[in-house]
This record gives sequence, C-alpha cells and structure tokens, in this order.
Amino acid sequence: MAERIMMKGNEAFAEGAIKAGCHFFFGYPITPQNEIPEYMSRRMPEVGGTFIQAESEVSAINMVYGAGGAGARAMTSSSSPGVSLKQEGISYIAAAEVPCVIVNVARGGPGLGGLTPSQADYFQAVKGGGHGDYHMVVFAPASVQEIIDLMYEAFVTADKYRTPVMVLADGLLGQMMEPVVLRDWEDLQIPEKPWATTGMVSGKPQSVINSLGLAPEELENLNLRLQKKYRTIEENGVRYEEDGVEDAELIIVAYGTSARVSKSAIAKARAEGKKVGLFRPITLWPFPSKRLAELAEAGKRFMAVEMSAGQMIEDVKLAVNGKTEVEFYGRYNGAIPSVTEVYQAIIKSFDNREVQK
Amino acid sequence: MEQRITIIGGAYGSGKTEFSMAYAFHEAKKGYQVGLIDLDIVNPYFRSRDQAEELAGHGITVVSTEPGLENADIPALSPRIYGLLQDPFYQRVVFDVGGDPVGARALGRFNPYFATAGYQYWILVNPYRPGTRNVQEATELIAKLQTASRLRITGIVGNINLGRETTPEIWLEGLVLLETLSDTLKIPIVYQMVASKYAAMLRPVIPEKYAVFEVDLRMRPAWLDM
Repeated sequence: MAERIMMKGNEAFAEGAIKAGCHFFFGYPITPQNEIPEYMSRRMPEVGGTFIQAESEVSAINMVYGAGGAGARAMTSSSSPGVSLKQEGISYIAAAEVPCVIVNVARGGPGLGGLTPSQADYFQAVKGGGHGDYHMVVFAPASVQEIIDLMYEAFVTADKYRTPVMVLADGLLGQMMEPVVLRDWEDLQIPEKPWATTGMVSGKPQSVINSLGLAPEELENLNLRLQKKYRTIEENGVRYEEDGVEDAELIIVAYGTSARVSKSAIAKARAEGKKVGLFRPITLWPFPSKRLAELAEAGKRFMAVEMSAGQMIEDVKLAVNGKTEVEFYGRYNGAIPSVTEVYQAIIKSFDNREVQK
Repeated sequence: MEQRITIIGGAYGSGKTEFSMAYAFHEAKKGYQVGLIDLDIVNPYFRSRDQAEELAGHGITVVSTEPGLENADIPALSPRIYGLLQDPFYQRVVFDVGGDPVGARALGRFNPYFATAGYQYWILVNPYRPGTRNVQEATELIAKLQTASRLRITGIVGNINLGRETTPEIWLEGLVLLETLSDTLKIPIVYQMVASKYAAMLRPVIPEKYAVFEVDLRMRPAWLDM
C-alpha cells in the first residue's frame, strides 16, 4: 500500500526507518533534528518498538552498539556536535562489524556552532571521525522522498556488509517539507544473523561482539578483513545521479541541499546556452571517483558547490587527478547558497574561460 | 464576532507561520494597527521573526525573542509581548504559536488576557500531514492543544495541500476529512487557505460557502519546487 503525504525531512528519517524494519531508536535531543526522536517516541510504541531517550549521545550510540550486536535493526540520530560525541562508539561498532544506522542532520560548526544548516561534517563522515582504519557507508539524500528511500537502503546495506551506515543531511533537509509516497517494502526480510549475541545454543559456536584485538596478528586479521570488505563496497555500493553531463563543459558536483539549489542555478545558466551539468553523489563513501575520472578524461571541468569551506572538493580533486580544473563555490556561515549566487559562480567560470582563450 | 486577539496554532508544519503572516497583512490592509507575536519557541527554522523586516515595512510590529537571540533555540519569551497585549494602540494582535501541544503550552502564561479580553483560536489543518491524517488523529491533537493551552479552539483553517503535487482531486479528498472533523467537533471552518500559485487551479472546486484565503508563500524557497 502506498500513501501520499506531506512530510518534513526529519519525520521522513523516522518513518523511513520504521518502514525499513527498525524497531530500536536511541537518541539524545539536539536541534535541528529534534523531530526525529519526538516522532520516534510516538511511533515506536505503535509498532512494538523501543524508543529510549538516553542520558547522552555517548550512551545512545552504545545502546545502538548493543541492540545491533544482538541482531536488531537499530539507529540513532543527532546533529553535528552530538555526532562528534558518538565517534568513539562508531569506531567500536565498525571494528565489531555491527550493522546500524546513524543519522546526522548537520548544523554549522565548528564547536557548538549555530543551528542553521551546514555540510561541514563531510570529512568527519567519510574520513573516519573516530580512530582507526575504518569506513562507514555514507548516504546523502537530496529530497524528502529520497530520505525515506535511503533509510531503507541504509538498513539493507548495514546488514549486508555488517557495517555502520550514516545518512548525512543538513538542517534544511531536516526541516523542509515535500510530498512523498510512503510505501511498505515488499522484501522486508531482515537477514539471518548467526553472529548476533542472542544467547547460547548448544552445538552452536559462541557469538562474540568485541572490538578489542590485543594480539597483533588478530588485529591485523581484523583490519585485513575490514579492508577487503571496504573494497567490495567500493566496487558495488557507489551511487550517484547525473543530469546533463554528456554535453557539459562544466559539471557542478554537489550533494544534498547544495545539489537542489545548484539544479535551479544550472537550469538558469542552461537557458542562456551555458553547457553546464550536475553530478550528484548519493553515496559520499564510497565516493563515485571512477565516474568522475571518466568525465575528467572526457575533458569536462568541475565545480564543487558545498555548504562548507570545501571538503568534498578534495575527493573530487583526487578523482580528477589533475586532468582538468576543479573550482569551488561555497558558503560557510550557516547559510545555504542562493540560486543566484551559484548561477553567478557558473557564469563567472565561463567568463574566466573566455578571458583565458 | 471580530476579536482583537487571534491565536494561530496547530500541528508542526501545518502552515501556521505562513497563515499568521498573511493574516497580519490582511488585517493591516484593513487599516488596523497589527502586532504579530512569534511564540514559536520550539523550532528555529522557518519562523515569522525571519520576515520581521518585510512585516515592519507594512506597519506590522513583530515581537519574538529579544534581539540577538533570534537564532537560539531557547524557550525565552520577550517581556514586550505583554506590552503589545496591554497597549490599546494595537487593534489586532496575532499569535503565531509553535507546533503541537508542546508549542501551545507557551500560551498558558497569557491566559488572564485571553480570559478577560476574549480571543479567537484557530488551528491550521492539512489532512495530508502526519498527525492529522484522519479524524481520530486530528481530534486527539485538538484535545491535546486545548489542554496544553488551557483555551478553547474556535475555528479551523483548512490548509489542504500536497505541495507541488496538489490537484483539485487531492483538495476535494482532503476536504472530506476537514468537514467531518468540523461536524464532529462542532468547530467551524473559518477559512480555506490556498497558496496563491495554486489558487487558479483550486478555486473552481472550492464550494462557495467557504471563505478562501490566498497566501503568498513567504518561507518556502523557490528551488524546493523545481
């Protein structure tokens, strides 16, 4: 059954998780994602699930570690400073290979920062954040519908690879309202989890969830296994969307809210004959480097548009590998770039090329 | 009966702020001196204080948190709210209340003014929003809003829409819930709020008995509906 409804992004994170079979939510309030725990506190009892407002973010992520370790679909949500507090737990979860989902509805930083939207947690999400050689799969939705759909993907991916998955948004995505279709997933089968700590059964080996590897060879074996898994995810898990890149001279690379704003700016520039397209990474890790490399090989130049001082641009540059130019336009005062600002950055880029010619 | 105090409430994302601002403009255009009280201490996004300059340009006084704290999510209300309520210079006072019962609770402290001076308390209802999708849900919400605010809701403002996917059929389907709710609770529908950009499409299907209230959406960035 599918239902059409107007939803806020934050409500969509919560309902999307429930539709994906998540029955355990642990969190601690922080703006601008408070609608998630609030919605969960009401909805979880209705579906026979568990909602706990933990005493801290550290506590919440460790409750996720426990519930995920016991095989449940579990999640937490927070916003930037709160997600910083969770990093130790995330590293433990990655080491113990516990599937779970972490939502970050990011706000301006550093420090306590502000309450307005930001994309400045990119590095934290894709480059570790916590300690050790680990990765999380990071999804970046750009609409309320995509939030719902990616919450499902997130839980499926987490179970498939036994890995923590982050869904990274910004405050505006959390607050904006759009029409969505709410559907029940047909293949909502949570896979068997023989590794889960669900109590001893005679004849079966003991399940242990642990992130401690004191013996050097034991630790190296874990890391080898993790790295092998990460290569598999890089091979199979990359997602992106392209719009008008084939004939484009300039490709805007943007995710989330920035991609939505860029789309309008691109349409405006296109109307004036500027050959510009949009490349929107949907997974930030694994990053769609291969495809960007192909586009660079084809001679396209790029501009990263971000609500940060320039973080994703580093991955764009790594992918482009010096073949063509990579420009940047960003706002990092907790504001989202306006359509006009991005449009002007596009026009300026073309004008500069004219001058160079 | 025309009341000096109008309270605009409802669920999160029901359109309270858009309607409050439009209603303030509407009253100002009639020649009234209007004060708009932004009582949303729940959510720091999309609040009427963000549009204070434009409102001031139309002679509307906006009172919210003390200057300098507009972007904080602290539950602090300005003492100037009392000033606005007490000053007879303001012929119309509009309260833009935060969402859900948690937002309505902030009304409690102003209860003596409402009790003596009278008020109209309207709630926005969009049958396509979580929390007001059926009569049972909406009835529960209304009961909770009344308990939290210690006030009686006197009118329903319909805000039937599915954003950019709104059609006349969608609108009429939503009206069924709205009318059932109004009949069940004996609360009249005072307005049907319609976004200006959909007005031409919707007006032909809106029954004549309803007063249509057109609103230019001020809070919604245009790129959202691209």
